[in-house]
Amino acid sequence: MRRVVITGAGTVNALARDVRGTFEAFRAGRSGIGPLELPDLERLQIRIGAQIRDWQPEALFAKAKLALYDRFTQFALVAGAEAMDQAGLVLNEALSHRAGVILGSAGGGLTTSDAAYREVYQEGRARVHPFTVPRLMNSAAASHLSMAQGLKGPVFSVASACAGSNHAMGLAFQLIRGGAADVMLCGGAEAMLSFGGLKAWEGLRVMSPTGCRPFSADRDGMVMGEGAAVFVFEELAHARARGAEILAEVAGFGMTADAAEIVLPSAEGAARAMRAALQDAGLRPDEIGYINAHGTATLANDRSESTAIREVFGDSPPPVSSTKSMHGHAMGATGAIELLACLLALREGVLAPTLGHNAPDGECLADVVANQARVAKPRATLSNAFAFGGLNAVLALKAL
Amino acid sequence: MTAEARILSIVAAQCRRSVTELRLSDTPETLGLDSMALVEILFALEEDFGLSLPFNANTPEAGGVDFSTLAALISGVEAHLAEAAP
Repeated sequence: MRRVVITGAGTVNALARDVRGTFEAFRAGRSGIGPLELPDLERLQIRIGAQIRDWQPEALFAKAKLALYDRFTQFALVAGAEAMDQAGLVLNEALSHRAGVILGSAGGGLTTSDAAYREVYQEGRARVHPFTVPRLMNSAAASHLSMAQGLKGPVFSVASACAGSNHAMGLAFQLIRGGAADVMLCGGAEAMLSFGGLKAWEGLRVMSPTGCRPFSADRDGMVMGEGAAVFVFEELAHARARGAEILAEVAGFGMTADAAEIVLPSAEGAARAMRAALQDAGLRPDEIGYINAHGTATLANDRSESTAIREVFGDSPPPVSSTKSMHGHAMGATGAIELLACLLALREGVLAPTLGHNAPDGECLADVVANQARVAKPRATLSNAFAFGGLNAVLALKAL
Repeated sequence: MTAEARILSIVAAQCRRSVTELRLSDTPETLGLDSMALVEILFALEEDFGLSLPFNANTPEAGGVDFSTLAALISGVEAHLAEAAP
């Protein structure tokens, strides 16, 4: 049976513009959440987020190309370049046909549509930029990444709200395992931290005005983040043949649907997804040494996820942390950014903390690696994503 | 219409009942309102009265708007109206 490994990783997020910087922030327990810098901030109730500050696309991309790149595409391109650089693949024509891209994004080019709506509806302008459609389409980032890296196999994007990245990575894993591709760039990208994006979220009343404190008794909701993370998934024999450095093995993937509510999560659906990932990976629950939680810091998710984890892992589950406490909830990109915490655990023996854990909540898990990173070297990890609409996607990684 | 009447009519519309069927002691459970319905009521109240009503679904008891009973909702909204009035 074909096996799949990770040979490259890249990211931009509120903590850092690369994987090394993100790992340092995880170790240090540094938060990227702070006051937002946005136009019309005074019209927003929620004024905090994990924003990528001083992003200067003119310094990163040629002007002609930039006209086509929404902010989310820019994030994906930078993360993808870092991943490909690390992987060191030499792409000949044959390999390029067997290499593709799958990215998750919840909103796609929202910055572009936000700006276009402002121009047309607020400013009464007669036209919007001709590239508005190719910029805002959900698949734009995946397309541009395939173009930038010369990948001519399966390329598309996936939408499953906050589980998008995990579904994207899961599908990439299955494509390679099933033989349709040998290399896949996969992950997610999101840039929803615009006035319009936040205004839309405010109405649902699940955002915190104060901070992201997953599993804490005093948690009061989610904090939005943004960014991208992209990985090079590669067939094991292919990676070994070229002497690639293997970061971890993608051992299994489980996806389920709650078929219950459009916003509230179900512990049953989440538990099934974790079990499915374990079964796919051929791993027992006791072999998992770390779980990166969905851990949005909402009342509902953290309770539901804790119940699900206890159901699958029993009374002494492995340590669980939510790095959303540091990089915010990056929506369709969040699962990919969070997979980095699994790589940190497997490769460098450090469990990223859950910040803001001020008091335990009896209905939540006890060991959430509270406030400080911990030295521990798991052999296998799970990464959870439990999205609106009951969409659950869980990835299992293992040290090789 | 008084503020109370407006509030009752908004809640009635959400529950798809007539105003006369509502009781001040009614709770979200007795009215068949889930968390999504409460958030919609909040939106309708804000739009109708033209004010922002603080409410966080993660900390529903933490003041702002009290959905525990219809009476509590009405007095909470009236308190906000009084604050907002010049």
